[in-house]
Amino acid sequence: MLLAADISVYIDEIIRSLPLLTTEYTLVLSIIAIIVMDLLFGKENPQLLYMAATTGLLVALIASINDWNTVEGPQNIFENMIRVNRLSLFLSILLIIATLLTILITSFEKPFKEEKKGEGEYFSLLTLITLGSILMVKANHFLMFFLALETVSMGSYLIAGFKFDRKGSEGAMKYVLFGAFASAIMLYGISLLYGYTNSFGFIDLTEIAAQGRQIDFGLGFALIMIISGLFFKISIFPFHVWVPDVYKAAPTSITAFFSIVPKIAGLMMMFNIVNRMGINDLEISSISLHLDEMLGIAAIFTLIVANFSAIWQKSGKRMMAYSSISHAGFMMIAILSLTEMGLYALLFYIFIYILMNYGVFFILIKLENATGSDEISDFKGMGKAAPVASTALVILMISLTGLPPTAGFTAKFILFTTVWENFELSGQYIYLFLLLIGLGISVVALFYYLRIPYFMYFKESEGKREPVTFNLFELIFLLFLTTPIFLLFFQPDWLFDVINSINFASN
Amino acid sequence: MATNVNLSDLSILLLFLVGGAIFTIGGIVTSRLLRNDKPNKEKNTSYESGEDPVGNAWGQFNLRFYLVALMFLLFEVELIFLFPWATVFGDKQLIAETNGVWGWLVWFEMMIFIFILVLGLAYAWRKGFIAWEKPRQSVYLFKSPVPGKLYEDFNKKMTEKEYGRKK
Amino acid sequence: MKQNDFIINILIICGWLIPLLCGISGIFLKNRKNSGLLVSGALAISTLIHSVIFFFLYKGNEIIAGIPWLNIGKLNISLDIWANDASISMALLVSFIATLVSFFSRKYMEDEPRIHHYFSFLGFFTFAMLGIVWSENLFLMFVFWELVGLASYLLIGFWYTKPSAAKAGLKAFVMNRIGDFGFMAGMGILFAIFHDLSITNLASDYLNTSPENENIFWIILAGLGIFMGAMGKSAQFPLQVWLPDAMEGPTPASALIHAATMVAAGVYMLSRTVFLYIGWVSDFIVIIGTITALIAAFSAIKQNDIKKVLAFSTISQLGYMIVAAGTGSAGAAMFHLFTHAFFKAGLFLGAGAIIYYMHQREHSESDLPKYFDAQDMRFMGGLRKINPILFVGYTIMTASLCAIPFSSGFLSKESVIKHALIYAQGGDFRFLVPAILLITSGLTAFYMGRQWYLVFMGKSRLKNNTSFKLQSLSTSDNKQLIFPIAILALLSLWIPFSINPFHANEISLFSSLTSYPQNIEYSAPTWLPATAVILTIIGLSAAIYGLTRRRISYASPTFTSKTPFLKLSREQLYFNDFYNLSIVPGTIKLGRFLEKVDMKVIDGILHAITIGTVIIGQITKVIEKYFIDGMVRMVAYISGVTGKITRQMQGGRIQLYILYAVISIVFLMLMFYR
Repeated sequence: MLLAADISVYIDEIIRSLPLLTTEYTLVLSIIAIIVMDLLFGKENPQLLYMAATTGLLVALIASINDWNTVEGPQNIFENMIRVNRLSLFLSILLIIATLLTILITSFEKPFKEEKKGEGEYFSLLTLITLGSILMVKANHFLMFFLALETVSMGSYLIAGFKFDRKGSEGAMKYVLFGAFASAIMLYGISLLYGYTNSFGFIDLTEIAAQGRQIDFGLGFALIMIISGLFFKISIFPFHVWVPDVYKAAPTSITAFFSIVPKIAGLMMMFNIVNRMGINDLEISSISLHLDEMLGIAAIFTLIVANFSAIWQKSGKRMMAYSSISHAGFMMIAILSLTEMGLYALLFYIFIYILMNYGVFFILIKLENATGSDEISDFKGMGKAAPVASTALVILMISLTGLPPTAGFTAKFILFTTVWENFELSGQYIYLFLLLIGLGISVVALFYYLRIPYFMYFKESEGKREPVTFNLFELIFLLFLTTPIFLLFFQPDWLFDVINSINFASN
Repeated sequence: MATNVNLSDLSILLLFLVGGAIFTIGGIVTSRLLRNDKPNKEKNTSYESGEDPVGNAWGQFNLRFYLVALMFLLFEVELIFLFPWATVFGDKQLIAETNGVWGWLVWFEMMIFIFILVLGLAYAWRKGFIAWEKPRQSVYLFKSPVPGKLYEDFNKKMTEKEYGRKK
Repeated sequence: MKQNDFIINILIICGWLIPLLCGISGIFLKNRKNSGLLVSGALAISTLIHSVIFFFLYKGNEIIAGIPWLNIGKLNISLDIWANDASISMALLVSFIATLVSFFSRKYMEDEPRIHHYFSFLGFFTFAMLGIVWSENLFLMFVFWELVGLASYLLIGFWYTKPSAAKAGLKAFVMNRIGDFGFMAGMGILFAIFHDLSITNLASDYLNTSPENENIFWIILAGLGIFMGAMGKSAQFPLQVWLPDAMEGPTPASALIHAATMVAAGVYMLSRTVFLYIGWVSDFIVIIGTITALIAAFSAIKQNDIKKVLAFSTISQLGYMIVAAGTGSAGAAMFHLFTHAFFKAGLFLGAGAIIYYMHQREHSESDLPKYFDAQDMRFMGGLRKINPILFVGYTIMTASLCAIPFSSGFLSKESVIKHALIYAQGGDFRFLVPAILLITSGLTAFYMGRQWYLVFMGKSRLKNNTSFKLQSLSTSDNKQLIFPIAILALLSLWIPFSINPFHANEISLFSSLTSYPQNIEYSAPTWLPATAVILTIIGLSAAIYGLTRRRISYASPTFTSKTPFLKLSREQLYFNDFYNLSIVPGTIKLGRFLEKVDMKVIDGILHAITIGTVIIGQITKVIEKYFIDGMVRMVAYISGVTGKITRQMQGGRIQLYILYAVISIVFLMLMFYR
C-alpha cells in the first residue's frame, strides 16, 4: 500500500521530470496530429501529412537543440528511468535529422509518388520509430529500454512492408519472426539479470563480480542474451542474417532509415551496456570467456562476412545492406574502446555515416527511378546519362571505403587510432586483430564500393539512356550531403568542437 | 486501511468462488431440466466461434477475425485498467495529502490512455476495419453470341420433356 | 624576415591552388579548346611564382607554417607546409615540366572531344603533386599521395572506352593501394610510438632514439612500411608492373606523370624522410632498387613499343634513385631525379611527337600493313628527316639517359654509382650493387641505342616504295610540339647543373636539393666514370652494330630471324661472334626470361592475390550457403525425422536463420573453452 508521504515525493518527481522531455511530447503530439489529419483529410491532401510530419520533427529538433543548450549535467528523471545528458541529446538531434532526411528522400521515391497509399501510417510510424529510438538513447533502466526497443521494433516491422507487394510482405514477415526471437531472448536475459543483481539499472557489474572480475555462468548467460538482442538491432554477426532480405524488400528510403535510426539507438545502448556495466572487464569463468574478446570476435566476423558477401551482390540495395552491416562492425570496434577516444570516434563515425548513407540512397533512388531496377548491372552507361549523380556517387563511395580526401577517411583514421591505443593500453591481441582486419577489410571494401561507378562509367549500355537530371532543390540537397564530407575532412574540428562539449566524465 | 485485511479479503474471495460455482452449476442444471434432449453430431461438438474445432492447426482463418479481436482488446484492456484505476482515483486521503494534485494527475493519465484508445478506434472505424465486408459478388460479364431466348426455349422444352415423361 | 616568410607562404598557396582552380573552371568553359589555354596559363603563372620564390625571395631558412587540423585527446595533427631548398626547387620542377607538357598537349590533344577533362585532370594532378612537395606532415602527404594516385588513375584511364586503358588504370590503382597499405601501417606505427606525424618532429625524435629502445623493432618496421608506399608509387620491384601498362594514357600525361614527377614522388618522399630508414631497412631499399634497375633494363631490351621502352627505362632509373636514397645519399637521389625529370619528360614528349607524326601518316596513307601500330618502332626508321630539332633534341636526351659525358645524366648517374661504391665498402656482397648498376648502365645504352637507331636511322620501313616523301613536322603549327622538347633537350646538357662537364659540385648542389645536411667527403675514383663510359659505348655500339647488320622487318620480331645468323657469324670479327653468339641471345633470353618473370610471375602473384580475394569471397559464400546452411539443414533434417512438426515448416528460411544465429552465438561463447 502506498503511503501518502511517498505519493507526494512521486508527484514531485514526476512534475520535476516533465519539462525535460519536450522533444518526446512534440513527437507524440505530431504522431497524433498526423493520424487525425490522415483520418480527416488524408485522402484529398496527402501533402498535408508531409508537412505535418516535417513540422513536427522540426519542432522536435528545435526542442532538442534547446535542451542541448540548457542541460548541463546529467539529469536522472522519472525515478532513474530516463537519463538526459548532452550525449543522449546529441544523439537525439542526429536521430531527428536522420528522420528528416528520410522524409526528404521519400518524396523522390516512386511508389509514394504514384500510389497514394498508407501515407498517414507511413509518417506516423516514422515519427514513432524516432520517438522510440530517442527514448532508447535516453533510457537508464532495462524496462524503459525494453519498452523503447519494442516501440522501435513494432514500428519497423510494419514500415518494412511498405512496398505492399509479395516480396515486401515476405521481408517484413521475416523481420517480425527474427525480431520476436531476438526480443524474447533479450527479455529472458533481462529477467535473469534482475534475478542476479536485483536491479534493472545499468549497474557496474565489475563491483559485484567476484575476485578477478569473474562472474558465474548464469549471469554471463544473461548478459550474452541481452547482447544478442542488441546484436539483432545493430546487425552484428551472427544476428545480421535478416538485414539483406529486409533491406532489399523495404522501400529504398526506409532502407536508408533502417541503416541509421534504429542502429544509432542500438549502438548507444550497446555503449551503455559495455561501458557503464563494465562488461569488457568481465570473464565468465566456467567457459573461460572474456566478454570483450567475444564482442571483438563478433565484430571481426561481422566485418569479414559482410564485406566478402558484399562483393557478390548484384543488387545495389543488397550491397548497401551488407555495407551497413560492415559499418556496424566498425562502430562496434569503437564501442569496445577502453578510453574516451572510442566515443569520440563513434560519434564522428555516426555523423559521417548518416551523410554518406543518405547521399548514396538518395542517388540510388534517382537511379532506380531512371532504370527501373536496383541491379548494379542495370546502371551501365549511367555515367553519361547522369553525370552529376555519378560524380556524387563516386565521392560518396570513396568516403564509404575510407579514402582521403573525404571525412570517411578521417572517421576510420580516428577509429583505428583508438584501436591502436587500446592495444597499447591493454596489450590484448584482440585489438591488434581488430586493427589488422579493419585495415585489410578497407582494401576489400574498395572492390565492391567502386563496382557501381565502374559499371556506370566503364560499361556501355545497350540502349540509349534517358538523361537523369536534377532540379535545383535536389542539387542543393546533394550538395548539402556531399560538401560536409569534404569540409569535415579538412576541418574536422568543426564537428569535434561540438562533440568535445559533451561532458564525457558524466555520460 | 481496514484492520482485518487478510481475513476479510480471503472470505470475499471464497464468497466469489462459491457464488460463481453455484451460478454455473445452477444454470447448467436448470437448462438440463428444462430443455428438450435431442442430441445430434453437430450439437455435440464444442462451440468454437463457428469454426470446426478439430482439424489442422495451420488451417487458414479469415484475417478479419484478427482485426475484430484486436478491436475487442481495445475495450477489454481499457476496462481492465479502469477497474484498479478507479479504486485509487477517488482515494480521499491521498487527494487531501497532495492538495488535489493526485486526483488531477491520475485523471489526466487515464484520459490520455483512453484518448489514445479512442483514437485507435476512430482510426479503425474511419479506415473501414470495423465494417464486416461481405465478399464482393463478381458480376459475370460474358456476352454470349447465342441469344438468351434460345436458352429459355430450350430449357422449357427440356423440362416439358422430362416432366412429360415422368407423368 | 617574418614578413618575407609570410609573402613566401602566400605565394606558395597561390602557386599551389591556381592550377586546381583553373582546371576546375576549365570544365565549365563553353569552348572546350580554351581550357587548354587556361590551364597552360595557370601552370605558367605557377611556374613563375615558384621561380620568383626560388631565385629572389627565398633566403635559405626553413619555413614551417600551417593550421591545426585535429585536436582530440592525444591526437594533434596540423596541416603544415614545409618550404626549404628541396621543396622549393622540387615545386619549381613540377610546375615547370607541367607547363611544358600542357603546352605540348594543346597541340597533341587538339582533336580530343574531352580535352577539357584532360586539362582539368592535369591541373588537378599538379595541385596534388605540389601537395606532396609541400607537406610537412606524413598524414597530409598521404592525403595528397592518394590524390596523386587518383589523378594518375584518371589520366591512365582517360580513354576509358578502350578496355585495356580502363584495365591499366585499375591495375595502377590496385598496385598503389598495396603500397599505400604499407604507408598507412607505417604511419600508424609512427603515430603510436611518437604520437606525432610531423616529419621535422619525427626527425628529431629519431635522433634521440637509442638502439636499445624497446620499440626499436617497430621503429624499423615503420620505415619499411613507409618505404612500401614509395615502392608502389615509384614502381619498384615487385610492384613495378603497373607502370608499363600505364602507357595506355595520353603520351604527354605519361611524360608528366609516369616519367618526370609522380613516379618520382616516392623518391622525393624517401629524401624527405631519409632518417626513417635505419637498420636492415636501408639494405632492403638498396636491394630492391638494384633488382628493379637491372630487371627493368633487361625488360626494355625486347620492347618494340616506343613508349614501353621509355617506361621500362623509367623504372630502371627510378631503381637508381632508390638505391641512392637507400645508401643514405638523398642528395644523389634527388640529383638524379632532377636530371631524369628533364630528359625523360623530353624523351616522352619526343615520343609523343613521333607518335603524332605516325598517326598523321596512318590517316594519310591507305595501304598500311595489317598490324600497323603508330607506337611500334619497327614501323618507323629514317625519322631524322622529319624535323632536325626533334632529332637533335632526342639524341641529346638519349645521350643523357645513357650517361654520355657532356650530359646531365652523366653527372647524376656518376654521383649515384659513387654513393653505391661508398655503400659497397660496408663489406659482404655489397660490391654487387655498384657492379650491377654499372652493368645496367651498359644495358641502358644498349636499349636506348637500339631505340634511337630504329626510330631515326636507316630508311622508313613502312613502305617498300622508297620514293615516298616524308612529311615534315616543322610546319608552323607544329612548333608547339617541338618547342618544349627543345627546351628540355637544352636542360639535359651539363650546363644547368655544373660548369665542369665531368664532375658536379656536389656540396652546393646537394644542399639545394635535400632537406637534411649530408657529408660528402669521398670523391669517386677515376676508373668509375671511365668504366661507366666504356660500358655505355659498348652497349651503344653493340646495339647499333647489331641493327645495321640486320634487315628489320615488322613481319617478324627483331633479332630472331635465323637465316642471316650463320652467315654473319662467319663474316664477322671475333667481337661480333662473341656479341651475336653469347651476349645477344643470352641477353635476349635473359631479357625474355626476366620479362616472363616480370609478366608471368609477378602478374601471377597479383592475379593470385586477386583470385585469393575472390576465392575467400567464394569460400565465405560457400560456407554461408552450404556449410552453415547445411549444418542447419542437417539439424532440421534430424528433427524432421524425429518429429512430425518439421513437415509443417514450409520454406523455413527464417527458422534456419534463427538456428544459425543460435549455433553461432554458442560457438562464440564456447570458442575459448578449455
